Amino acid sequence: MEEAQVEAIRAHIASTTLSGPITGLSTAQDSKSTDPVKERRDTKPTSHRTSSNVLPKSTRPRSRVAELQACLEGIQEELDASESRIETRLNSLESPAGSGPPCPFPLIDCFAALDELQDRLAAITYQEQSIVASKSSLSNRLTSLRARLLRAKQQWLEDWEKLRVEQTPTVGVFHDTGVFNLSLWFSQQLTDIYVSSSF
Amino acid sequence: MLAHHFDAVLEQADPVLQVTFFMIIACQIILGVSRRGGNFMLALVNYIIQLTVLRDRQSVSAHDQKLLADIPKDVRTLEKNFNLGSPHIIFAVCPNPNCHALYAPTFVDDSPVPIYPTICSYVEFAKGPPCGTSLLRSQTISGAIVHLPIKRFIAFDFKDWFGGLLSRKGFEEIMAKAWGKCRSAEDEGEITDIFEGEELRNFMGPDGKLFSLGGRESRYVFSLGLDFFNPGGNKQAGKKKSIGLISLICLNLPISLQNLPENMFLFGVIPGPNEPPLQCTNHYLGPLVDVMLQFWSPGVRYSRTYEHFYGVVVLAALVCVVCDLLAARKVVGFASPKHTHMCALCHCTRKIVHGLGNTATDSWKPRTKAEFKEAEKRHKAAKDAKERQQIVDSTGIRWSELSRLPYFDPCRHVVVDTMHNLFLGLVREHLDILGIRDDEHDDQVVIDVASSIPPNSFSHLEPAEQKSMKCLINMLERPMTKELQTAEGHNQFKKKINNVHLHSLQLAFSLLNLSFPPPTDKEKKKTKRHKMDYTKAILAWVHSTCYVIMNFL
Repeated sequence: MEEAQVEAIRAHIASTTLSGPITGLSTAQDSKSTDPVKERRDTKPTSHRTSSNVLPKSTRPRSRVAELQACLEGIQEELDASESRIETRLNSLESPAGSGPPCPFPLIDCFAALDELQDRLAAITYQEQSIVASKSSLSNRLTSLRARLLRAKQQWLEDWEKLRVEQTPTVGVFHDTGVFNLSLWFSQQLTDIYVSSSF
Repeated sequence: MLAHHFDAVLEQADPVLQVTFFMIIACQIILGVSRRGGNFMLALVNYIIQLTVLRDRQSVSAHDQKLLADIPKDVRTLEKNFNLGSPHIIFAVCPNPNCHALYAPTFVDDSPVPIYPTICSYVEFAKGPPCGTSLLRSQTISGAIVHLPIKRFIAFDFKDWFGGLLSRKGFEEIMAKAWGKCRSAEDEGEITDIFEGEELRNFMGPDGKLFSLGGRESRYVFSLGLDFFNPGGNKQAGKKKSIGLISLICLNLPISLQNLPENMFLFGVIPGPNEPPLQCTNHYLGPLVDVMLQFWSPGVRYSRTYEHFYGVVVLAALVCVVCDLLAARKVVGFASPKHTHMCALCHCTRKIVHGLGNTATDSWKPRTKAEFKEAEKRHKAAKDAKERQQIVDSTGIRWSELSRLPYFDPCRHVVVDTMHNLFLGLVREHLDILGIRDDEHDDQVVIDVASSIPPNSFSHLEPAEQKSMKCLINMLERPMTKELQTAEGHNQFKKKINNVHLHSLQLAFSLLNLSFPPPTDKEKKKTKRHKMDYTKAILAWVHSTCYVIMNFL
């Protein structure tokens, strides 16, 4: 493995997880934010940072495997929490409402959360057996969870389409006052969701 | 253009321009700044922004250059950006004052140039000749000769206007509530809204069920208003011109919102200079009736409204005509209120027997929709003007465009509006009856002229002159001391006297034993006395009489 790649992984781990238990030292982000939105805003851009100025300034040698294991454990914890939340929300998911404005798939924000976990997982490329096994296990869980979400979304969209057809009148002399642009509306709603969601 | 009700306005524009344009448009619409004034504001705003950006630098940055370049020169561009233009059709109107037929334009391919027929082909009677009046005149625009209508009628798109109303937040909700009043109203009790009235409660929809019950469609009712007025103001000596307004009001709106300008629909302005005669008003109502027929069956399907994201079918009906008596008669097809068959509700006539004097209400025979339809059908099918007149004379009914609306009942759907009916009609009449009219003293005789000029003394005059003489006597007998105290009042009074026929003035002059004032040098050469000489002599007499009365008082 090239030195640059190792450095990148170290930087990533340092910036996305607590380095305290491993290195005993704090980094630029020495504590987890309690605000999930802030956390997401903070963590997402830094996850791709590769410059050396974010490297943890450890004073004693660290075990690379232990660091990555700790990172994977962090991902697993988040995945557990996400899975639990998604399960709860999937169980309480209702069909699209027949009245009021159309709403986007209610769990649309979950995709973004899973994507983030997937990105963090993909950043770990260390080929040690235990790491690969843990990563593979997490990856499978993520894929499975995403598939469930996709199925739910598909079903929800089908229900919505039925509703749309049902509610769109077919008789009468047509007059165009503007057509409801669902994709545009969804994108506007998503912007709001990302800002206000506490997921 | 049509699907503009949900478009964002100036979404990508610089905030400076957004605020500037909004200010100018607000000045134009709310404060009434003219288009020319709007253009001036645009030019000035451009200059102010330019001065601002150059205050700390020598040159204008590329961004600011774009900002300045984005400011239009014509305020009409802003109107377009704000989606303020209303879709409309410019009809060519037959300039023949007895025709007024309308012709919609046609367009070849994508050409914006409207094409109208050159000659009016309207046929009044089945076997009669076409009108044949030229509709167009040639005009040179940018070197090209185009043929444009001599007279135009701009009809605005009712469907688009109503779509706009339904796209406004909260309007569908409050309009739907109106039907609740209809359903909860009782037979007896105070009525505060048209929806509580018997007519709307029993009004049947196109499906044969009560219109108020609703269904999957949204249902609305409208009133039609038509009135004529003089665009130059009603001046005594001014030119007598008349243009008409056709407007619609959605009755589902709360009363406080119904008559706000933004909630009223102006269908069109009937061009002047004179009112179209009787039948000709129908031409202007034709396009509106066509649209209302679509609204009745099968209804108009809007692709989106504020409440209905996937669209909604709207049914609408024109349930009352609200205007003054004269216009109402013209629009609906009844004869004038001065006609023998003057009543729109029953068969009461002007005759003494079974007429105005008959107060036995049980014997009054009400008019029905069926007999109205039958009479107007005959009127429309009449082969010539004479036959038509005979039908009007015997029934007091003419054909009207509104009769094409299957639900419209002329005997029940004509409402004389509050202003004309109550304020200008009934209230005045009641005060007259009670003898408490404010202007009671105006009718008081302060100078007895009638005894000097008894009616038999001017019986030899022409009828018009006799009428004129009566007016003159009334004028001279009224108290006028206040009027004559100002130069303006004096001139007005002089004008009024001068409008009286010469023969009447001459007779009054002699019967009142008046004499001309001593002639001036110029007047000495005059051999003939003119109308103004008699006017001046009578006026001098009025002044002297008033002076005596004032001294006496």
